Amino acid sequence: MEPGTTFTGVHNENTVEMARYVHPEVETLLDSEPRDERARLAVVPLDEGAETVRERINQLGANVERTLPSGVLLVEVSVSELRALLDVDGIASIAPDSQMEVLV
Amino acid sequence: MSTESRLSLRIPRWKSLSDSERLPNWATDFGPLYEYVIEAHGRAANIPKAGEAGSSVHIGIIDSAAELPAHLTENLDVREGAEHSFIDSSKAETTYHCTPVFTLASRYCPGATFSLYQAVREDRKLPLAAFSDAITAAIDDGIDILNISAGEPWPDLVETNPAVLETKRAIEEDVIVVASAGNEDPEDDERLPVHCPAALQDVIAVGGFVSRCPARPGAEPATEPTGPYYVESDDIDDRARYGPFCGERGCIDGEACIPNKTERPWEHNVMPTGEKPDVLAPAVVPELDSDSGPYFNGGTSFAAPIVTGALGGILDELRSENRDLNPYQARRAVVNGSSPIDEGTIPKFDAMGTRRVLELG
Repeated sequence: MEPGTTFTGVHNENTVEMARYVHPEVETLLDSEPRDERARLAVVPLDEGAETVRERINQLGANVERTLPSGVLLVEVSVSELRALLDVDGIASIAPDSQMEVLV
Repeated sequence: MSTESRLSLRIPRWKSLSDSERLPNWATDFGPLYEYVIEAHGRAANIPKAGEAGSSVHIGIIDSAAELPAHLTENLDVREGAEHSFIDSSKAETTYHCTPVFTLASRYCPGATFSLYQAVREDRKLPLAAFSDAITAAIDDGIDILNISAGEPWPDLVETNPAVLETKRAIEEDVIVVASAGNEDPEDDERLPVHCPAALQDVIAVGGFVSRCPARPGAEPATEPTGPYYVESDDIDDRARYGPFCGERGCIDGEACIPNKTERPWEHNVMPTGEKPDVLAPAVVPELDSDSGPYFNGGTSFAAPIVTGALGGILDELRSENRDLNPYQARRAVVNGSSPIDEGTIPKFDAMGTRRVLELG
């Protein structure tokens, strides 16, 4: 799937179409160098649950560093693994960690 | 590293003004000006005199400090220290942000117990793990009202934002969450939406407003604090940052403030998004810059703790009548009790209006 584009996840008459959100900074990372540079991302799983998505991410060789109580996954991934991460099913959003900041 | 050395502080204190900087004639130093502004904000938001309000209430502040200087916490019940830090930092306050946020919240609810949760790094950012740990600690500590003067613009569904999902955990535990609505970057043409987590339905989202005064600076008496507040300097050309703002204590010529002042949205508010922000609150506080001198720093960071503190007093009143307030009731009361301002469509927070909605005497 191309980042930044609308992604139709699980979609039948009982579910609402969910657009996957890929943060622009993650898109920028896709083509950055060096390829072994690592990024820390926040991955929000769809309702099917963090555990399934976690297993899929681990299978890529990326490192799920922590699962927050809300189910958000903090993932460390190399730039070279990033494109495969974006193709993992069951993800609602992917953004860099530490996007919140104080508001002055 | 010992707790004491970890918490060695760098908090700036008010300094003397240079010859070219002028405050209102009655303001002998920055301290009286600061007090005057805080009182003016309370009047603008219709907050009753605080007294010892809040003794039954526990307020949490997720921000940049694990511990604040003693002169700020004197006579207040503040839970702080190294164990209140959730980031990898040896600094008690990583960036000068929690000080004004705490000062505002505590001024309007001085009887409350306050707990600090340090989750802001020196680069002003909040790592999600630290934010999550702070939320968990706030829940475990039984926080009643949680102030979050931080956020991020999020153009997608609010429910896909990670900080929102963490904030929801607090709301589900009946913690009332008050959050800053977000600031525009004056250097950027892009209009930003209301930030997360403020954009979450059940969070009380607070934008900013300012109250402009038409009076000419310098005409106020030296003997009595009255009239507008402002900073004048030979170097100043940005009136938005320096006033004059309405002091809510009578115009200089003896007229009442209400027909003269103009309340308008703070110029760097983000774009209203859906029903958000819920309300506006005063958004400027006086600060001193080591290079450029005194000025009024603006941000929705400062608006949120005014609502937080006032809500603390209201919750305390409710509890004195054996009543309570959950996050949904709190937001509804804040919205329904709000008052229109002179410009724009978003109303301002009105503590008396909120009390009226909650049928408090």
